[in-house]
Amino acid sequence: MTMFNRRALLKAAGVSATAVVAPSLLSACSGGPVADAGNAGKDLADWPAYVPFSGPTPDAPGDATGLQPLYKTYPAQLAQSVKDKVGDGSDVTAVYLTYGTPPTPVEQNKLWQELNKALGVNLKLTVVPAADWAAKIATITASGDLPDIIMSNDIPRKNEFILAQCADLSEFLSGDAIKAYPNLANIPTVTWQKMGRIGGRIYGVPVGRPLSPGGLLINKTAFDAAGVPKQATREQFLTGLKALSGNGRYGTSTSQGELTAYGQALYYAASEGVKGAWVRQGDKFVPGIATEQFKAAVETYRKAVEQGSFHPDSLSKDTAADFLNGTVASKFWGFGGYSLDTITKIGGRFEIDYALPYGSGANWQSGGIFGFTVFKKAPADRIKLLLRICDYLAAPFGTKEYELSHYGIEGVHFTRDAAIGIKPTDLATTTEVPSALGVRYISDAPWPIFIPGQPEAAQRLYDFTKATLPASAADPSVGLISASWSKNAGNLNKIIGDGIAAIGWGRRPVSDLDTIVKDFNANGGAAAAEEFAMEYAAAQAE
Amino acid sequence: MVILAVEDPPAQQPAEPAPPAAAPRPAGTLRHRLRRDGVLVALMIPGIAWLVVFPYGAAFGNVLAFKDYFPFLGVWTSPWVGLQHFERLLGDDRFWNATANTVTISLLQILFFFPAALGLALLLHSIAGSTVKRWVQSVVYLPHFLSWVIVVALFTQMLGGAGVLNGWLAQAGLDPVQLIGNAEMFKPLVIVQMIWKECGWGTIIFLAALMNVDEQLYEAAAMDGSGWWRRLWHVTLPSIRPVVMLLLILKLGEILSVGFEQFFLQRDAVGPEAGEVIDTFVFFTAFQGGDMGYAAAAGLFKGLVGAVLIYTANKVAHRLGEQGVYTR
Repeated sequence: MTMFNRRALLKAAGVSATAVVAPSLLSACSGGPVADAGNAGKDLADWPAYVPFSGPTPDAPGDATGLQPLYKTYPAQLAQSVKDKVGDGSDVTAVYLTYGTPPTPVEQNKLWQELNKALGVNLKLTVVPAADWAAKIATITASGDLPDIIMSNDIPRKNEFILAQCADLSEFLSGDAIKAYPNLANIPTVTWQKMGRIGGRIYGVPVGRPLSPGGLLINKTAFDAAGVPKQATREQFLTGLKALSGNGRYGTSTSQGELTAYGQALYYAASEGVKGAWVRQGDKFVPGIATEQFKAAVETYRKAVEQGSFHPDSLSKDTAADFLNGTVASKFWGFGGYSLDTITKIGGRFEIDYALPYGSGANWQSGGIFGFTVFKKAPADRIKLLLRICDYLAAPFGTKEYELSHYGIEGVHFTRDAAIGIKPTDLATTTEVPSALGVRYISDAPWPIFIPGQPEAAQRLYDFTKATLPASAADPSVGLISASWSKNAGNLNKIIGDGIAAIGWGRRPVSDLDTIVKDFNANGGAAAAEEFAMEYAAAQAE
Repeated sequence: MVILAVEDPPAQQPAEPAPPAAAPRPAGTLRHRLRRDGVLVALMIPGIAWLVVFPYGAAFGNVLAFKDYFPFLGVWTSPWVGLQHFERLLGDDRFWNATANTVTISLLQILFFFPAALGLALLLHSIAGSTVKRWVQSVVYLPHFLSWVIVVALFTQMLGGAGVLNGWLAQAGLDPVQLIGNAEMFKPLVIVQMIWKECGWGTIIFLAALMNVDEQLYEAAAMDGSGWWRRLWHVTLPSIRPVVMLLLILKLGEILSVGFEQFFLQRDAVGPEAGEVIDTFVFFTAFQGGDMGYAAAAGLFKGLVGAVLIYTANKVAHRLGEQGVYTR
C-alpha cells in the first residue's frame, strides 16, 4: 500500500526547500550584497553637454533662472529634429505610471500605432495607474523580470536597485557624448543635476519639469472682487480668504491626504521664507520644518483653518471640483492645475492665476524633474536604441516629433486652427487622450509656456514665474544621495505630513512642531542630514 | 419549561450493535477509494491548491521579518538582521498606537456590529411573507456590494462639513457639526459605516443557523404558553449558540484585523493618532516607506497574536462545553 502521510510530505518539502535555499544563503554570506550608492569620494562622470535647440522665436524669452519661454500662439513652421532611423523593428518594453485613465490597447490606439511607426519599434507599454504604482513597481523589481525602460519613481531602495540592476549610461551621455542625441542635449544641465549621479555615474534620463512649481491656484475673478492685493501681506491674505468665505463658499482648500496638506503648507512656508523641504544652515542640512519661518507658516495656515477659510472637507475629499465650480476660491495645485483642461472645465465663469506668495513674494523651487528613466542592463547597441527612443520623445516644442508625442496625429487627434493653433478633436478629448499614452513620462522636452487658445492665461503664468523665480532657492538635497533618506524617505515624509495636518487643523498645538522634528530626526532624518551634507560638500568640490 | 417532543424509535427495530472501540479503516485500496470518491476529491483540488499557494505559500514570506529586504536581491539574498525589526517594533510608538486603535475598533465591532447583525437576522427571520422577506433581504444585502470608496464618499456627502446634514443645520440657523474628519468621532463613525455596509451581509450565517432550528421546539414552547421573547430566549438563542460561539472565536482571531480600505481612505483626514490601524501601518511602511522587512515583522506579530487568541478562545469554548472551531 502506498504510504503518503503528512509527515512524509513535510519531510520531502523540507528537503526541497533546503536544496533551493542553501545556495542562495551561501551566496549571501560571500560578501555585502548592496553597493554604496553615494557620490562622495567617487570619480564623478561629467554632466552631459548642453546644446540648446534653436527653435521658433518665443513671444517672451526664457532665461537662466529657469524661466520658460512664452508662446502665445502655436508655431506655424515645425522643425524635424530626428532625421536618422530610431529603431530596428524589435520589441521595446517600458513601465511607467499615469495620473489619468490608462490608454486603450495598441490595436485600438492610433497614436500608439503611429509612434511605433515613427520610432520603428514595437512598443510594449505597461501604463500603471498612480494609485497602484508603488505596489506594482515593487513587484516588478522583486520579480527580476525587468522591462527595457523603467520609470524609477518610488522603486524601493531605488539607488541600490539602479546600481545593481540598471545600465550605466555615463559613456553614452557624459560630456560631449550626448551630442549623438541632440534632443537630450537640449535638456539643461540643471535638470541633469536635479536627477543626480549614483555612485558617481549617470544612470538615467531625466523627465524634466519647470523649476517654478506653481502653487496656490486662485479664482482670480473672485480674489480681485474681494480686493485681495496681488502682492498681499500676511494679514491682507488672511483677511482676503475670510472675505471669500461664507454662505457655503470657502476662500481656500487643499487636496486629499496629509502629504498634499504638506504641499499646501509649503505655499505658506515659501511666503514666510522657507524655500524647501531641506535648507542649509552653515555646513549643515536642516529639515525646513525645523526653522522658525516654518513655525510662522504653520501658524498662518492654522489661522486660515480657524477662521473658517478652508473647505471643511479638504482632507476628506478631492476639492478640485469645488474649485472648478467656484465653491472654493483657491486650491493648492501643481503643474497640472494651470492647464487648458482646467480652463476648459471652468468654462469662462472666472479667470485663473497663481497667487504670489504673501509677504515675500518669493516662491520655492520645484525638484526640477518629475523623475528619471533607467534602462535594464543590455549590450551597448541596445542601450543606444533606447537612448534614441528617449531622444525622439524629448524633441522640443516646435518640432514635428513633439507635436506627435504631445498632441497626436493631425486630423485624428487635432486640427490646425488659425486662432488657437492646435484644436483637439472629439477623439482626443474622449477615448484617446494623447496624454493618456503617457510617453512623456519616459522622456520629455523642456516645458514651454503655451496654452492653446489661451494667450492671456499663458501670459499670466509667465508673469508669475518671472516674478517669483529669481528670488527662489532650490532644495539643496535634490540630486544628492543619502542611504538613510533612500530607506526612510516615505516614513519621514509621512511623519512631517501627518504632523503638519494635525497642527494646521487644530488637533495638536503649534509647539508640537518640535516633537515632530524630534521624531523626524530619530527615524533616520538626522542621519540623512549628515549624509546630504557630506554629499553636498563632495559635489561642491567637483 | 420547554418540553421536547422526541419520538421513540419503533419498538420492532433491533437495537444497533455498539460501535467497536476503534473504527476500522474503510475497505478497499487507495485506487479503489479514489475511483469511488474521485469526483469529490477533484472538487477539493482547487480549494486545496488555493490553500497551499496563498495562505501557506505566502506564509513563507514571513521570513522577511528577519531580513533587511531589498526586493531586487530577493528574499534569500537580502541580508539577515535577526530580531532587529522586532526590537524596533517594541519601541515604536507609531506601531503601538496603530495596535491600540485596531484593538479598540475591533472590540467596538464585537460590541456593536455583532449584535446588530444578529438582531437584524432575528428580525428578518420573523418576517412571515416570503416575498417581503426576500425584498428586505435584497435591500439590506446591497450595501455590501458597494466599495468602501463609494461608502466613504457617501458619508462625506451626507455628514461632511459641507454635506447635506450641515446644510440643513445651517438652514435652521444651527451651528454645524463636524462628524467627518473629526478625530474624536472617528471610531464611532467607522462602526456606523461598517454596520450600514456589512450588517445585512453579516446576517447570512445567522439566518442559515436560524433556518436549522427545529420548528417542533417552537411549537412545543408555544403550546406551553411561551411568548415571542421567551421563545427567543429559550429556543432560538440556545439553538444557534454554537454558531454564535464559532463566529465570536473567529472574530477574536481577527482582533488585529479591522479591514484596510475603510481606514486607508479616512486615516489622513483624522491623522494617525485616531485613524492608523495595523494594516495601514504595514501598507505605508512597506509601500511608501519601502521598509518591507519591518512591515513584515508587524504583519507577523499580528498573525501570531491572532493565532494565540484563536487557540485560547477555542480552549475556553471547550471548557464551557461548546464545540468551538473544531470538536475536541
